[in-house]
Amino acid sequence: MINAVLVFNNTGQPRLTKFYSQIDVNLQQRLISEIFTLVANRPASACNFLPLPPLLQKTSSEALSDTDQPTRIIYRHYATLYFIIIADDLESELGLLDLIQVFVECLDRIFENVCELDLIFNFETLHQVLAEMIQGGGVVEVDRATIVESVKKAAKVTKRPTASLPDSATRSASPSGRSTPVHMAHRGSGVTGIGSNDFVWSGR
Amino acid sequence: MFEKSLYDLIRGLRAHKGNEKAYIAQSLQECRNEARSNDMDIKCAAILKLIYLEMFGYSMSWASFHVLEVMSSQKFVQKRVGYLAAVQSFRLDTDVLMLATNLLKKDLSSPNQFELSLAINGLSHIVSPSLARDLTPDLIAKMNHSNPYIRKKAVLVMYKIFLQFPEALRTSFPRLRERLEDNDETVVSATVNVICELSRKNPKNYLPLAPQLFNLLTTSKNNWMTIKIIKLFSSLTPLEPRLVKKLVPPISNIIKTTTAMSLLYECINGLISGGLLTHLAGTSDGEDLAILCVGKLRGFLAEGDSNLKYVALLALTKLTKTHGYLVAAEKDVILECIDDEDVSIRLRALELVVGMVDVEILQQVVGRLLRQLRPVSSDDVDSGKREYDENTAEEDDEDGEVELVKRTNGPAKPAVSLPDDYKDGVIRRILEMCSKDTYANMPDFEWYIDVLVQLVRYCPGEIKGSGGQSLDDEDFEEAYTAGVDVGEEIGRELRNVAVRVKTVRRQTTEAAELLIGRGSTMFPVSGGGGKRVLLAAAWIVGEYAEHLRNPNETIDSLLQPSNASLQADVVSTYVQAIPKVYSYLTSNDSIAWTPERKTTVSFLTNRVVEFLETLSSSPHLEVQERAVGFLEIFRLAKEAIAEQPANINKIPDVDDGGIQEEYDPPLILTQAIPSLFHGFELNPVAPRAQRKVPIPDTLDLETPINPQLAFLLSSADYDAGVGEFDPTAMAADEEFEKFYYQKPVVVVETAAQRIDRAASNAAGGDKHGLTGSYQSGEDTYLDPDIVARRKAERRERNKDDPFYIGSTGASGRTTPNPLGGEHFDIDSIPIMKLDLGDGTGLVKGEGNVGAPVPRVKVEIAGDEGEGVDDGEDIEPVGVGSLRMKGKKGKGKNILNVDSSNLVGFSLEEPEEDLLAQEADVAKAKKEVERLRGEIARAAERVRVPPVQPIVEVPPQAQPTEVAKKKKKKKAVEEGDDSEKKKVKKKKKKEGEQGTATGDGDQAESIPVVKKKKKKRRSSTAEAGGDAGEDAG
Repeated sequence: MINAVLVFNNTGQPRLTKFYSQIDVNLQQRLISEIFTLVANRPASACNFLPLPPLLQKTSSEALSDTDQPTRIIYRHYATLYFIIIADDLESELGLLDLIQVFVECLDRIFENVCELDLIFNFETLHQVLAEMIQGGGVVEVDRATIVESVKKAAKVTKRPTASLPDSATRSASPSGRSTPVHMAHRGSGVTGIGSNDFVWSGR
Repeated sequence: MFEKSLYDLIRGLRAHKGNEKAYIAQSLQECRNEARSNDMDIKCAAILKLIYLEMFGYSMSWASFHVLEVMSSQKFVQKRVGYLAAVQSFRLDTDVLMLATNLLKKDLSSPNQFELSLAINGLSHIVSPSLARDLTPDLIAKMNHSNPYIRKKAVLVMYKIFLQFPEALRTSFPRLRERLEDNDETVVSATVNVICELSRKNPKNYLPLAPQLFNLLTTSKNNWMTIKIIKLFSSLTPLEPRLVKKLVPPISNIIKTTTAMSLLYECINGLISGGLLTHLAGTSDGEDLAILCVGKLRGFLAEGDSNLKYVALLALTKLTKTHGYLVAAEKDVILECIDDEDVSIRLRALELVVGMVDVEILQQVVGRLLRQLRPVSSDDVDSGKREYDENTAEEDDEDGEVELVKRTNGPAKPAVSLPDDYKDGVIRRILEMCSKDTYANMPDFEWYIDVLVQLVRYCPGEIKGSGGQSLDDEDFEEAYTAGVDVGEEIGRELRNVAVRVKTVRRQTTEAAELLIGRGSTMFPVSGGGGKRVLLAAAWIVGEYAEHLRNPNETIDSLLQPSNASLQADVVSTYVQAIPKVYSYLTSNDSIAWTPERKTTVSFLTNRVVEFLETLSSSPHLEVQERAVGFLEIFRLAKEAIAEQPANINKIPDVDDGGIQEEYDPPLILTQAIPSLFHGFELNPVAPRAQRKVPIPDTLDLETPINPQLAFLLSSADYDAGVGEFDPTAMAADEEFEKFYYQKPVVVVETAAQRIDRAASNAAGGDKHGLTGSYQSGEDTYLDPDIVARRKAERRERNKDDPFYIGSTGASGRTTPNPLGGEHFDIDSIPIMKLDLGDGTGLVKGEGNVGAPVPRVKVEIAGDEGEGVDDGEDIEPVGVGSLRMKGKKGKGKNILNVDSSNLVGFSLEEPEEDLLAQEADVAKAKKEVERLRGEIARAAERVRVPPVQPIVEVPPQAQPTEVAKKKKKKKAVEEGDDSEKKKVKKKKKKEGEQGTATGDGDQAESIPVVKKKKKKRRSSTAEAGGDAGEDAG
């Protein structure tokens, strides 16, 4: 099961927090900052798995009895944002890496050249996309087209152009409009292998 | 007032950089007011803002009721906000949760698929046991919804329901099973997902699904699902070994054919962790499969992708337990990973290597690790850091503008020096590796000692004062289990070797001597880390003083005045070591007691006394006590030496005829002090051995040793009071005051002084010439001085060995370079005749990787007291066990999912439960019968007494009360008609037993009401009817 999905930026500011188990708000913040310190010091070439932060480290007695421990933290770094998934060992590490990629690509399709500001101002949409992919800790859909379609359909029901209006507003709001549109799928490293239609890690 | 939208809030936050806190506080206050608004739009906007702020740690639990209001909005936009807020902020103990049942029920029956999915998704987060119980029927229905979009979500939410309400599993399982045959792939996938989670809790239930799942495994094209199915099977196979045979062909087929790395990896992982390989171990099939897996994993390692490397190492680590020899064959690629630039990969590789290390590769591995630990020259680090800082500073400048996709590929970072905790970990791993199974893998103990000494130099600075304070006994216990300083652990190893391996005891002692002798110069340079190795070093030096190379120098270093500023427990071992070395130096009575001898001994004694005197006022009790104890002995020795006259001449002149008196050294030196230390030889003892020693019956800890102690103490106090005018007593008092109430003046040595001293030490013919510089260019993992010493030792040892090719002269060149040097003389090349008669005589180079290291048979002492151990677990010797214990519990893991409900939950209703239920029903029936009888009787009684008081009541009052009876006491309390109450009281009085009618009766029958509502209602109606008739 997936325990949490987090998105924060290069300075550790949260952009999305979704915990699939109910924990206290203060603990959430502590966890985020612990993971941030872990992730911030990693060089770009390092692998995408994090050791467990102190808060999640298991005690020896628990290690034997309980299997529902979060055991893996997988992250991906896109420009200014870190995407983190905390999961237990029933999830596949490499699969989750792809899941993050799917998530980001869906956002990219919805916002068209998504950047951090889009996510800040549309964080409700961000939650919706995530909810279409993961529900209560289980992966429910991995097909990009289906996810994007359902989010857009739901947006139509609201009769409010949530996705587009603030989007354009943010662009004008950004102090220095240096947002060069580079399509998500063309990122230098890590994405090239995802071209196959199974969306699962297929190497590079 | 104009309300802020979320958009305004975010812009405001960005505009108030620096004082966000104040802005947020203000906004929160606004939200509070807006959430109370009657306008749904404003309320909704407020909630949305609160969700946003919740992300930054501002709890919105206070707004849960408003969230519920927004959830129940008619507009989808608002409802969605409400659900999002609920998902983010509701907890199991949120009290409005119980009010949400009907709302959820309604939304679950919505015709709009998005509303429906909203409700399902919301439920997956906020479900509580009662919600689960009430909504299970609705959700089960949704599992057959016509739209797969709903079906997949409904299936997935069931897992959350089961967690809260396991009984739902029994009712919904058939439906769930049907979903495995669903024509929509995502629904099947979701179902597999749920079953996979469930089967980890109690795999037995899901064995019947094996054929269906097997079918899916062979036909599915969805990799996500295949991964889950494999995970699922790996929890089933331990229960049903026959599955193994069946699974092997399809899985190995996938391994061979798939193009998806994740699937390939999960297949291999499934084979390993599902125990398939273990089960097949020994058969040729199993071997083939294992070889296939290892081959693929090797490919992962060679691929160059750090993620693949990481997972491959994980899998290999698991595999070592069963197929260690196969993994060991891949050691070349694995060892490469130890030097990977990614620290996480290194750690994984290290973990793996610790598991697979053997005699042959131990030295190689340790060598690599030591090379890693070598400090990077500070220039490199600085420049790297600067570059990095610039890089990040630019990036962090403005957060939002950079496209997510664009990835600034900054200049490659130069090797940054390793973090201290990594170094710490590596050192511990090295120790663990080497000491494993009581040094089973140790090829060469002399080498190990060198490594240990080298490790001391690489010790990182102290991490969180694990040492430092003096340790009381309880503290010590704790320090033993909690993180122990690396330096101390190295020391422990050193001591272990010294005690257990007699053959290298001399070398170990010399190493300890080195550490003690250089303590002052070595540790300041390396940043204070590893200092605690002195603890063990001092002990070794004292205990095995006879092996010291230069005991005079050693005692000199032990007596350095600066030692007093070491950590307290180190100082106390020093205090203990000093008399031992002293005794070794002075106890030899075969050395004639000449004047020179007398002078040296008395000089030494004076120094010891001096040193101990400074410590006898140490603020640390342990140090003080030991110092004071030994101080007395040395004072006695001093007196004895002074009294004992020395021999005038060495050899008594017989010819002269003169009577030459001959004196022996003082007995206190030759007999008394040595007898303090020469008892039995110390042997390694198992940690628990002490417990085996029976407590003697005669041991009496109750009786006071001196019954007059209290009196003595009080008289001592009195004396102190009387001696007020005594100047000596005054002085003593002052001393006393000073000692206990004033901080001791610690002489702080400045860095400059230290450097000077170090320099003078180095200049002053320090034998090994250590300067503290670690930046040698030589590509070897041991520092040059250690290497030089080794070489010298080897030369010495092999001096008489005819087969050893010694280097000519004393030059440090051991390998003559055939091409270097112009005066190259062909004739000087030593020629050895090779005996090619038998193939065994082939000599292999020392550096050859695969060469078996000739192993000297070394006797390693085991623990004493191990044999008599009765059932108690013995901790294995070495560092591993300590490391394991090192991590202290931090309470319950925060992200844990409480699935204890499902553990061992059976699908079939257990028979006892059914029986118990039947019994319950029977009991309830009886109870109902009894109560019915009582009510009937009571009704009769009501009829019997005179109707007089009831007449006062207005005719309509009585029936209403009867009607309200059903609502229990509430009705009575609410009733504002005082007369009604009066009537009730009167009725009670008349009803004698008090249970006849009214409250008592009601309360008693309440539990029954729930179960048998109908019956109860009819009976109350009866009773009520009777009463009403009476009233009429």
